[in-house]
Amino acid sequence: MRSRLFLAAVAMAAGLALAGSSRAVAQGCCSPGASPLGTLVSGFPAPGRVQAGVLFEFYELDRTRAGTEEVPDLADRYSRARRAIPYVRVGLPARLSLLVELPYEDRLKQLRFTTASGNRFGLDIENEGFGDLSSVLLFRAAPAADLAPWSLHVGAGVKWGTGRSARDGIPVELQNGTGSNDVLLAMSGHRNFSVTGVSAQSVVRLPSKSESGYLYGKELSLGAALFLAPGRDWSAGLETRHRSAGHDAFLNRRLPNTGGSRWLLGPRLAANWRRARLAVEVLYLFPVREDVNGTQLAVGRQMSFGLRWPS
Amino acid sequence: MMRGSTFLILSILFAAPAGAETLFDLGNRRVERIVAENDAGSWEEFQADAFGVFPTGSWVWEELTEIGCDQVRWPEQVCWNGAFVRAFRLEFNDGGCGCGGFLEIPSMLRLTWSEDALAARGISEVSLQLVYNYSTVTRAWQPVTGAVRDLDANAFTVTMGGDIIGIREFAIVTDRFVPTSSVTWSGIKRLFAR
Repeated sequence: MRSRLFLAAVAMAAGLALAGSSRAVAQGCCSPGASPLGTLVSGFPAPGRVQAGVLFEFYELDRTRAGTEEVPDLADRYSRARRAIPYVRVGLPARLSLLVELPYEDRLKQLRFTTASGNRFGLDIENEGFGDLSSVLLFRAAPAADLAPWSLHVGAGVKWGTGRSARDGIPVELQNGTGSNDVLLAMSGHRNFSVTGVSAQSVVRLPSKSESGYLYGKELSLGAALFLAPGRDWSAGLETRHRSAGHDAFLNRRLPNTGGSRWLLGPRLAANWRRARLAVEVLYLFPVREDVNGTQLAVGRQMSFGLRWPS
Repeated sequence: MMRGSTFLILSILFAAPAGAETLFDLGNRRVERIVAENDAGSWEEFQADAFGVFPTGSWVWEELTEIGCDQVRWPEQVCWNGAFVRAFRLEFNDGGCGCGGFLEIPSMLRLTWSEDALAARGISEVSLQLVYNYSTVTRAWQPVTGAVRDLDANAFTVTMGGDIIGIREFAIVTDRFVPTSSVTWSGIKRLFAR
């Protein structure tokens, strides 16, 4: 019965994903995204307990695509984003928990032009600062018991427009924040078997228009992992992540080279260092399919490294 | 290098600033004029929001360069019978943002000639016309429709809209120029092949 409930939950998460990506949608131009998917991965604390952690993420956008095809880049563009995301999860009564995260980001884009007359020049744009604060309230929908080999959480929250979003001369994808308060809908589930396990998460972000008139496309992030845990203190597995986003708009005009979708896949390792009460997670993802609207820089790889202090 | 704040680095690296390239931000939403090197009278001017409305940081660049018969594309069409007077290459790149390249509001292009240079060659100003090539598919120089010849200013002016990404070449030529279609040239090539 519980397995059926869990499968139903996974199906709901997949349904949520498909509902948001029924057409060619995806990341805004050259941006790794802005939803708190990574910090939803691990478990949730009991009432009155607090978990804290830091997730380090690195994205490299080193290829240009027109749709799914890799094409030469007119400006030999390269971009990368680095984030440190401190977060806390607080266990609340009534099967509730609160997740709060505040990223600190460093985003870079390089352009290199070579003219027909042989002149070469370039532009480096780098922006660094605190991103947008996110807070998500999660409810353990099932099971009712605190201790169980599986769980399903659903939640809602807001990504607050706290980061700076209108620095002059900085492209929108390099701004620290989106400049808008966006609704987040989240779902997270896991199931542990004797030496294996699966987990899945999804986040839907429903952006609102910023003061500058920029409106990001609706964004869906989906993650799933299958892992093997032969010992008590470590696990290894495969993780896949999907992200899709609709076209952005500026002053009510749709921007053609924004939005698209991507699937990433790669290995994931996790370990518990009991003496230090520390959990460590490492993830390396590479693209298996990317489909951007128009022509855009696309993600070449994603790496993340997480530290978590269990409650 | 420009620094806007403690955490902001915006640097422009010019490795060989020999041309007249101009990097500009469509997000500034203002008139931009790209001037040819060594000829302040030749330029292309873009109206604010000429490519549409884009946010700050939407960087594009354009270069306007005078070129000779040894640099133009398909010189056999403009340089073979003394028709050639002067040519310019306009190169536009929207790679910084992938957002421009199509002019919703036409630009104003102004290209000049030298009265003295014409006199030295015995060319009358009234015989001048403006031709251009853009498409690498048609491989043909064609007269610019709507070009205005200003004999007082010694300049052609023309408004042009639509797609401008990549390279456009303009040449000021005499009435000896004959528009040549790619079909004609392929016919000539077939003739010589026999």
